[in-house]
Amino acid sequence: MARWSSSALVVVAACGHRDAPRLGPNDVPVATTAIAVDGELTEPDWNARAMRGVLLGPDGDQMRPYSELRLLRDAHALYVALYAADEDIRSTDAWQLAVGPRTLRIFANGTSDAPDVAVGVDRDGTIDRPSDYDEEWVIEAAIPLATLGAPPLAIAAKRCDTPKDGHERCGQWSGKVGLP
Amino acid sequence: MRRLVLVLAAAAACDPHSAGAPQDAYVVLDAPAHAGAGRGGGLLDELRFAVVGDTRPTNLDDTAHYPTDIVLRIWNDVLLETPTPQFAVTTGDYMFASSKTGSEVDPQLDLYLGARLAFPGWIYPAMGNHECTGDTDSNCGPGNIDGETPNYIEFMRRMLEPIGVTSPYYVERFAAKDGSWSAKFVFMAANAWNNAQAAWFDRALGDPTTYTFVVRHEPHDAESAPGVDPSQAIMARHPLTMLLVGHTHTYEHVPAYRELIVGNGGAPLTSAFNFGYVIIARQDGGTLQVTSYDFASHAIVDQFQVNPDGTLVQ
Repeated sequence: MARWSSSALVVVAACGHRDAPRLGPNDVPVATTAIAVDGELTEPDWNARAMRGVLLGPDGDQMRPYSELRLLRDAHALYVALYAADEDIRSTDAWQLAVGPRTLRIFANGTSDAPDVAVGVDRDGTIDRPSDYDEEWVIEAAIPLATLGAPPLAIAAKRCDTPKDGHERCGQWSGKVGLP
Repeated sequence: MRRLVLVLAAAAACDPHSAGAPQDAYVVLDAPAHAGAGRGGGLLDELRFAVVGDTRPTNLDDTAHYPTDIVLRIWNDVLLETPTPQFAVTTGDYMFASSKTGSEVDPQLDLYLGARLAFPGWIYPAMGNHECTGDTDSNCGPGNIDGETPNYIEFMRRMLEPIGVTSPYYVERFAAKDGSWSAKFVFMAANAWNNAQAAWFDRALGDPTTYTFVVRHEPHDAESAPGVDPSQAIMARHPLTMLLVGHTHTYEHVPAYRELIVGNGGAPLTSAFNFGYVIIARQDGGTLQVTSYDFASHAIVDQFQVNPDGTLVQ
């Protein structure tokens, strides 16, 4: 009985391995549903599967304002979600990304300096209106995999922001990711 | 109730050890006749309470990253304050959950309410925009455009009904046991705004008390919330000690509006301020001392005093 159970478990484990390759901690997961590039991270994979990195400030603590990136992929694109807490959203506020051989900037107004990169933005707050308090802006971007070269890919994300106290603060995250 | 208070006041006057009534002693006491904070308010030895606000994950439905540890630590800190605050008010946004599916509303409230148990005292919550649809301009409640979302329904059921409240807007009345002061806390819901709330808000603010606190989620400049501008107009016609708000994930004192932003309760921070909370305590002379604490170091990040009329003590 014990031997039968062990054999059955091995079969189950082997089937599971074939269907879902084990991801390393630096592998970007494949999205299980289509990603709409709209800035609204409503696809469940963004919470359940995405690789996640929190930007750190020069002191090694989490950047203030809080900033975070998430990564997913499919057969055609690397999807990047960028969360930026921001009490004063300006159209010039931007993320700087280095992904493999590419560098690009993505702005809070939902534009980028890379025409082939699809960008969506969702803002909670008013843009270019410093008299009120804003909350956050979220970027969702799709970068064509064909433009990124062979994995592993070196990725660096940097953001600087000037809250209402007038002091600029910057944070960054970097890593080398696989695309299994 | 008023008769009971008169008796209490008379008893205090006959007490040979009783000090003279403080300058702010004018009150029409209409607080519930039970000792300590409870349903509707209560009679207190002193006015000392905590303010905590904005507690939600970064992303929609991201329950796995709910800031449970931060919430727990903040409420532990509040409990360890000396003396312990007699109650707490919270400024809204306890979840970031889809109002379309509603699937993560209760799991997130489970985490929040579980962590909040660290503080056993009474907690009076204000409604935030995330207790409606999540949009700042959303308007929930029967008859309003966004109706009764799962977020709204569960907020009402799990956070307000247990304190005896059946409407998203309500008032809590407190008074000193010796009759020396009274305070009302007017909780309004800018994301469940309608004419009935406007009329109620005007009446509630017209009830004379030594101290008047309005607790609302959005600050004065979050004009897209349906009830912000109308309630600002109503508040301008009445005495106000302090407007307690959240929404912005930081701590900020805005003296021009007698506004205190306490939104650094676990949601992603928008400024350099760390997570933390505020303690407001009545002083012997009747002024209120406001102290903002960093939850990690317990360092004081800001401290000031205001008079009952909301003006700053210089």
